[in-house]
Amino acid sequence: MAETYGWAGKILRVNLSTGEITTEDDTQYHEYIGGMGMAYRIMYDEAPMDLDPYDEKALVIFGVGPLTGSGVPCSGRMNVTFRSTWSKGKSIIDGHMGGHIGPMLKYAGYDGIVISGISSTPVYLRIEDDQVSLEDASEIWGKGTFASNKWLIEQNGREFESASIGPAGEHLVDYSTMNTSFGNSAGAGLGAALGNKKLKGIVVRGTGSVKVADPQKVLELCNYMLGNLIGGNNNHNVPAQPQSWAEYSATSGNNRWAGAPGRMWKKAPGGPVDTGEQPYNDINKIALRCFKGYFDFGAPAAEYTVKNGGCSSCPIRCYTEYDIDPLADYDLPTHNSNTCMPVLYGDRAYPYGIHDFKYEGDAKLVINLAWAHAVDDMGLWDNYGNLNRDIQWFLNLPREEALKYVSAEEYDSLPWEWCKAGDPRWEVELIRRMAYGEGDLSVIAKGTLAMMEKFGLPESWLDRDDSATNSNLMYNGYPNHHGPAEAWQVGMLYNLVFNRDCMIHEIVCETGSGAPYEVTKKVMEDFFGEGCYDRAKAYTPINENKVKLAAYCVNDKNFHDSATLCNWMWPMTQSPSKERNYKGDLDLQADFMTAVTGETYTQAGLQETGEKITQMLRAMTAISFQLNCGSANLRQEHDAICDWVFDKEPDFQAFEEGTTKLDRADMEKAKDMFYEVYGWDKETGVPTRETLEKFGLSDMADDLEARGIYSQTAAAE
Amino acid sequence: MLFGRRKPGYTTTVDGSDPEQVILDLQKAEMAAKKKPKSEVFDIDAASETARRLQETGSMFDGSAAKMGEDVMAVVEKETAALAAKQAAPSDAPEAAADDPARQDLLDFLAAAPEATNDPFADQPTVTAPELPKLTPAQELAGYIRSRSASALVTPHALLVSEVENLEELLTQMAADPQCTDIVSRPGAKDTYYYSNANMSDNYAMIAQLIEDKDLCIMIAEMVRFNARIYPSATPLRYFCRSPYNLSMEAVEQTWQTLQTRPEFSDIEELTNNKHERFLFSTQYLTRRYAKAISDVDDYCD
Repeated sequence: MAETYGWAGKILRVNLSTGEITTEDDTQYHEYIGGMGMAYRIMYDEAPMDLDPYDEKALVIFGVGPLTGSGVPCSGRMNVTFRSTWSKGKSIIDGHMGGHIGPMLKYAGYDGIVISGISSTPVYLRIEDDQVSLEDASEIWGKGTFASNKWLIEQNGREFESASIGPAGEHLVDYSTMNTSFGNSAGAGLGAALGNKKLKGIVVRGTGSVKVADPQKVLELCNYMLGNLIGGNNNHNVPAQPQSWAEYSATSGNNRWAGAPGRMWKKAPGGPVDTGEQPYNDINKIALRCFKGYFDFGAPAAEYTVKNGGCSSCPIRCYTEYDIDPLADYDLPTHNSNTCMPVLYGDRAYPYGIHDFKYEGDAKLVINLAWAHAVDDMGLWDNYGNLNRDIQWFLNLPREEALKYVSAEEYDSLPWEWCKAGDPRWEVELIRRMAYGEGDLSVIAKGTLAMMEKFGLPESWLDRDDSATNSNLMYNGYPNHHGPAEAWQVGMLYNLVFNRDCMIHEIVCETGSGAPYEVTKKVMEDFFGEGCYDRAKAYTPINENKVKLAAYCVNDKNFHDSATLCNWMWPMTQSPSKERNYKGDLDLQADFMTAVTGETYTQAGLQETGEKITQMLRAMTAISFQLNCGSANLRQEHDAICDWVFDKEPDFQAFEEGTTKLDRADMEKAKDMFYEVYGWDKETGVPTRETLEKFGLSDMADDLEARGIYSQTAAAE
Repeated sequence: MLFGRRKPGYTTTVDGSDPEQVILDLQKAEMAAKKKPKSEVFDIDAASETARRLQETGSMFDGSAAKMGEDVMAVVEKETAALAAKQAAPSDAPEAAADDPARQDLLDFLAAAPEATNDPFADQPTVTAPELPKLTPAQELAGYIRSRSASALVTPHALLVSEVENLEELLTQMAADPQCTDIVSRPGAKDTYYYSNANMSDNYAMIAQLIEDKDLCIMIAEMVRFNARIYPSATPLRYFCRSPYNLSMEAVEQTWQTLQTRPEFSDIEELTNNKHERFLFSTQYLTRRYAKAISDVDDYCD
């Protein structure tokens, strides 16, 4: 194996049916960067969409990239590619995991793990450099992820990183995750994909390192980034409150640069810590900028906060770590931490409301952190809030209507007294039932589409204008994730591409920051052209630069999940520096790629690679839709947009000041332009042969042709 | 007394035993720093402050307790207690190193280790601090203003008058001194305020001036107009309860009641968003319909 910089140089292949473990030189995949790109190529070549997601030959591919573990800031991510069981088309899908296990895999000498086969008994994968084995996991089969990870570390040693599935994955619950001991989780059904294979967990210890071609340059780029470009969480570039060094702050007092004078970690060891001022060029205070708990819950978060935690190589520390002592009264764990969706919507399971526990306004925090711990322990995914929204819809039904969907016996077996009392054990019990697949109600955790089918709800149920219980932009089973409400038509377009919520933060990092519109508009238009950046709730009709921006976002996200970089922080679009006119540096990620790998990269080249991954995704999506939906016309089957997106806020017209609603005709025009940018057929939304060949994907073009996908027409639908 | 109040959360440590000397030291350090842009004078060694502290204290708190599912708080408290006991004990670190065979072995090993080859940082020159020129009285005054700006404070002219005998002469000299170009002034309703725009932003100086002027009606009205014009945004009433305003809600309410009785503030209006939070906005820059729309909070996700 030739020595390379950045990449470890090989991937691990594990066949759970035979127990065979081999390695493979991965040079052939470097053109796909790594992570997501590498996994898509492997999936297409080795596990075609024709396979059932639970087929023995189905693959689960863990992938990291050349930047993972290299010391590049915000690079501690790992991508996991597998097949969806719950979204329309059962196509290719990814989960994404932060923490430390991705870099540790690199230190052990691997750029990825390709898991195939099905074990006859529960096992876990043990990786200690080149010593790799499958070990018996029967002792932890059935246990939650926290207990499982603890056991895995006890068995193997503190220097290992671990990740485990929970009961949800074991019971093939479609909304399931794999979790690290710290609570980082990859969702989208990964738990079930691994549970089907009887793979309970992974432990990794690597004693090697990532070879870097130009360490001096990496150091220079790090100093440049940390001293000039990086902001708070989501790279918000102004603080939430006025700070003496800053010209601007978020008027709302609430963005993800939430650390500020007077905002405290009151349970910090040794006494309260005031997060204080954090001048943008004082890099020793970067970790005080993000106070995610304060962003999520306001002042009560300070009462329970111990400190900030986060992922490998990340100075932002977006995991607020809490000691929620009121939960002890309910025999629930008090040391909780999560930064993502699990902490946001737990209170939606309480139709009678919730109450404060210890401090004024702490009800939501306590309830939501109890939810977060329970779903993490059970390895239950929330599909970016759809689990909570669908539970909320059901729990708000009058009893007689609810009994259309579940039996009276099941309905009455729910501990309603806890619900009415705002008792956190209520949500824990709901989560337990979902994770174990108990009762008809647990169909909610099999997916919104599965629930609709079981309950006999028509497709128009997804057209409802009820933001509390319906956030589905399309009819595919996954919700809005930073869509048109934050990024006008651009947000709608990039939500069309994937087979789950899009996980794209390229625009919301700007729109959510709170900096003056004109300041950010100048930055964005300098990068992406005039008219690309609309004012909040004051949209303009689609134009060419908006479409290009949408495609840029998709391709850039794909690069991030391949490199790997955190898409919540990257790219460095904006800066907190007045001297830079708040403009970031989009080329920095290519500069890091060059310095780490020793090969020359440009931002344009990374966009091209990102687009190649987009084309692979689209081609595989077309195939799976043909197989599972009877039609590969993605414009009609995949990219159809729910009515509420156009019909909400009836007092406003689209493009009027004050609304985020879109216009139907304008959006169809936007699709036309988007397809054209990507080289997709306007009638079907499928990549043309010419497009695929342009990206060296003629094998996929041949496949689409052989399957008759190119001969289909819209009229045939 | 040349020191003003300190803002909560301002974390620079100042030894108050000799305040005048502290000012001079701060000024010298800042002038040295101004030789280069701030981002370029960053000392990478300082970045490892946390690692150094952990090493000095012998801390083993590396997150492994969390991985093992142990009680993190208990571990931290144990560490904290051990550190306190260590700090309370007489310092005998050099002797301890000599007495500890294992540590001595490590030191001997490190001393005997050959120099690293191909070390990309080996030929970097040692940076020494530049010789500093003697400061003029005007430059010393500038340093004082700078230090207050770094503490998030503007410096009222009246404060300087009370402390400096030949103030006007020094201000004239300061204005002509190329070393003091960062010192600027801002007229307020009751005084003129000085600050260093190297240590304080112009917009924050505006806020600080409005606070120092102590006219709550003007302060709230001006900030509501500023936020509506610049961002554009309506301003939550709670905005004024936060740093650096730190008003009580009662004071904000009372001021808002007064504003509504005065015709010069007739452009300031109130709205309530979809989460029952109250905002003020200026009709000079925002329509009520749009102000309400952009104040409403949509459910968000990560």
